[in-house]
Amino acid sequence: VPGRRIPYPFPAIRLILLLPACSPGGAAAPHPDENELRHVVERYTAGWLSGDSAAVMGALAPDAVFTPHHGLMPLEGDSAIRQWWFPAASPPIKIVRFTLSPEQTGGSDSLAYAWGRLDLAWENARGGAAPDTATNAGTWLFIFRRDGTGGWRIAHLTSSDTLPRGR
Amino acid sequence: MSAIRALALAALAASPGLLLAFPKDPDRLDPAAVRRTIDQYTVAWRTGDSAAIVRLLAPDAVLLPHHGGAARRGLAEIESFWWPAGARFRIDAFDQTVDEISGGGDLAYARGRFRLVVAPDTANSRDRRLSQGNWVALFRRSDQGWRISHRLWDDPRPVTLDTTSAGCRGDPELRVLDFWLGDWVVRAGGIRVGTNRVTAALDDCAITEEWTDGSGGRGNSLFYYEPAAAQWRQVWVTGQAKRPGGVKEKRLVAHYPGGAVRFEGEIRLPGGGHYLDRTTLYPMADSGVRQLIEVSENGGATWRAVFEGDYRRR
Repeated sequence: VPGRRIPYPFPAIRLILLLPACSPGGAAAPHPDENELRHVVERYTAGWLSGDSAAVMGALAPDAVFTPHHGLMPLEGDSAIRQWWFPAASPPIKIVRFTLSPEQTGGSDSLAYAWGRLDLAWENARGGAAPDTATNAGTWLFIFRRDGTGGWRIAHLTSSDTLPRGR
Repeated sequence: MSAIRALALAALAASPGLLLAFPKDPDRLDPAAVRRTIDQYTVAWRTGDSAAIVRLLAPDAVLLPHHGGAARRGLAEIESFWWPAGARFRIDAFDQTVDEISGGGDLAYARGRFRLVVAPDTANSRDRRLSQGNWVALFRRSDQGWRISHRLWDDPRPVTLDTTSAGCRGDPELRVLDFWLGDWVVRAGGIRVGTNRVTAALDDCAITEEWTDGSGGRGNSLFYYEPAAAQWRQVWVTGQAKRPGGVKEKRLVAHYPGGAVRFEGEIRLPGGGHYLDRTTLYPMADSGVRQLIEVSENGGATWRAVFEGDYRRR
């Protein structure tokens, strides 16, 4: 993402349809907890849209790994991810549109995944001038683990999206 | 177009490491078995064995290409994406680190970094591009072993390699170890453990390392740049070459922001078996260097630090 270190979260707002994985060659069945997984993603994206860092981080496991786009170094653990997304010295990024549309879920009783398309728009502050709106689109992949209460949390999140022009 | 698709092949990896509050299923996961699949995938790409690549994929595998490319579902879509009709490209180098392997039940995942050198048009072998980035993959257990069910990778725009000059001087790819050149005093845990002299050699096409430990034990390295793979390699030989680790051959498998580099190799044991050995060199802001040597006896699922050196210039 151009400019400063944007907390590229592939924030997304709502989960739209969950299209079952009808892939050639016989597909993996949707995860039995598909609705719960969707709710975790919804909490995550809603947190970004409302600027609620606690909600964003609350969707993640404490030892989650975030692998940013475009080959940036992975960030391991709550502290490193929080510092990257919500640096103390910078104003929060204003996310104006964030959609994660799951296309498939699957997995086991202890490990689950979801992936789909992402659509993101955010505002770049420009001093006193009207902010620019930047957008990006691509794919995302989340891996989930159960937490101590049996609920699902995001253990790994990564994405792939279009390169900025001229980079 | 074939170049983009070829570059798109780049990423597959492993992932471990979770807290107690997030129980794994360690009894059921054999990280070394997952690692074997990753290694086979790497070798298959290096050798251009498309049939072997496809055999390592689940029938309903999903590919999530770099730069936001549309998902490819199933073998037919994946094959036409990677090997479209009439496409010609050549893989000159493909390496993957495995930084984590984890799993639960019949599902595993892994992650790491990759490094790819591809000639997108074999008719013009001078046009070569280097891509480096991250990969994340999911694996499903099958009767034939672990198969890749999902793979996502992403990287920045590839760098075009300079193949027009035969000289090494001035080539940025050959300058990546310059931060390590020098005469060093090496400490571990605050205790002086040896000295190391790291010197540019052969018109900057190679680097020599002369290590002497506190009891006079010695080891020498030759680092050299292998042009076909556009890759640094290391041969390390000690005065105790018959001991495990007394001789090592490694290759540069990853660059990290800030200039750190990682070399990794497989150490074969005389009686059979092997383990993985990797060295990461971190340039420090005060012109020092931190050297971390780690080994893995389970295919890269977990790593154990065996040496952490703090380099200070003499």
